[in-house]
Amino acid sequence: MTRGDADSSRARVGPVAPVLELHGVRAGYGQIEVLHGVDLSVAAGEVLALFGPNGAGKTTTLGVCSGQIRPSAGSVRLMGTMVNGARPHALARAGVCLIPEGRGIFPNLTVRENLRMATYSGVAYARVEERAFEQFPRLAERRTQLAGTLSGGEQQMLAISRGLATDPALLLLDELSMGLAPMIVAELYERVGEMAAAGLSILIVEQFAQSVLGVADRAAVMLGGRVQQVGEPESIAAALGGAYLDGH
Amino acid sequence: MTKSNRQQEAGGSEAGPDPGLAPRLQEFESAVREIGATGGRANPERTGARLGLTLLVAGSLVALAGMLWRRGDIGASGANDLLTEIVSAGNGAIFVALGLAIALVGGLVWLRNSLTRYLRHWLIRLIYEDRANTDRIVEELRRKRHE
Repeated sequence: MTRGDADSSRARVGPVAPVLELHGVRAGYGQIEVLHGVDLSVAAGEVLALFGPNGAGKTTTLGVCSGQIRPSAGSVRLMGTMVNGARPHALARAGVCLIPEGRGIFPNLTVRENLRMATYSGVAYARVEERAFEQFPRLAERRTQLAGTLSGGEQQMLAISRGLATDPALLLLDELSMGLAPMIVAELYERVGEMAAAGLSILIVEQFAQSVLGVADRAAVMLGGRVQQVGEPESIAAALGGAYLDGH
Repeated sequence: MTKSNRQQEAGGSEAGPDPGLAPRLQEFESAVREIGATGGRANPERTGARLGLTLLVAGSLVALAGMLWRRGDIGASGANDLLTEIVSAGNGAIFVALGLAIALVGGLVWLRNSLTRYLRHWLIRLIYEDRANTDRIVEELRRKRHE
């Protein structure tokens, strides 16, 4: 496809609002406010990497984006429509997919049963399995194995497969590389790159920049519940060490 | 696939939707619109529980006041204002019934929201414990396999 074809295709849908846009979002747990006015946006087909140390509010930001945590102030918009207060299941059904830290798989169910859980959105099981095993052939060999007995990387593959089975428009990835060997992380990010190439908008939360640099279009640094810096991944990665140490 | 490869595949253009995705984005947009989010509130159960508790107390007070009026402790016959007229006519029972109804509704609202909070906490606790148990079993199986 030529660039002209791509442009004409975009012209049909008109100017596209950011797939995800957070403006002045404040949120927390009970009386404790964790996000103190977060501004962030993810364009269509963009991969945004959000970095920050423990306790910066990265996971809370994903919680807000997926509807699990309601913001106390500010706005969360999807394709320009405000979705503050929308239920998580409604957002998931619309096309927002969160793959949480710790993978969120059912350890007592087999790989096949875990994949079957993704059919809630009306996708046929055969299609779910076909997609999952095509992307991660290793899962096919483990289909009857309990998910809890898979290696960390395979569990992450299963979590991603299950998420993608719902055909999301926005993917939220929380600490994909946590506890995994660098080689596995590279393999997983290779797949993430392919998803982005297929046009999926992705917000990746990571503590360490190195693993994401190859796939991210933009990066942001979050500290103390605020987004401190947004820019090119390479420049953000270079400034990251200092930002972590300085705390600003 | 790296970012640069991806951009090459996309014809070297800026990061944007694959043309094939446009219909999916349109679907997403209309699905999001259909959600019809009203804004909601942070921690709605806590707000609901507080509202219920307030109604419970307010209703009880109204019922108590109604009982006192009925006994003739408050208000006196012969007064000109409507409220006292009603009380004088022995209609304090209406206030008792009204107060009890408000208290009942408040109690139910409080119970519903408190239970939701408690059961959510319970469910999360169960999930965490279940995971911890599975991890222990898996660890034990691995240990035995290595022995």
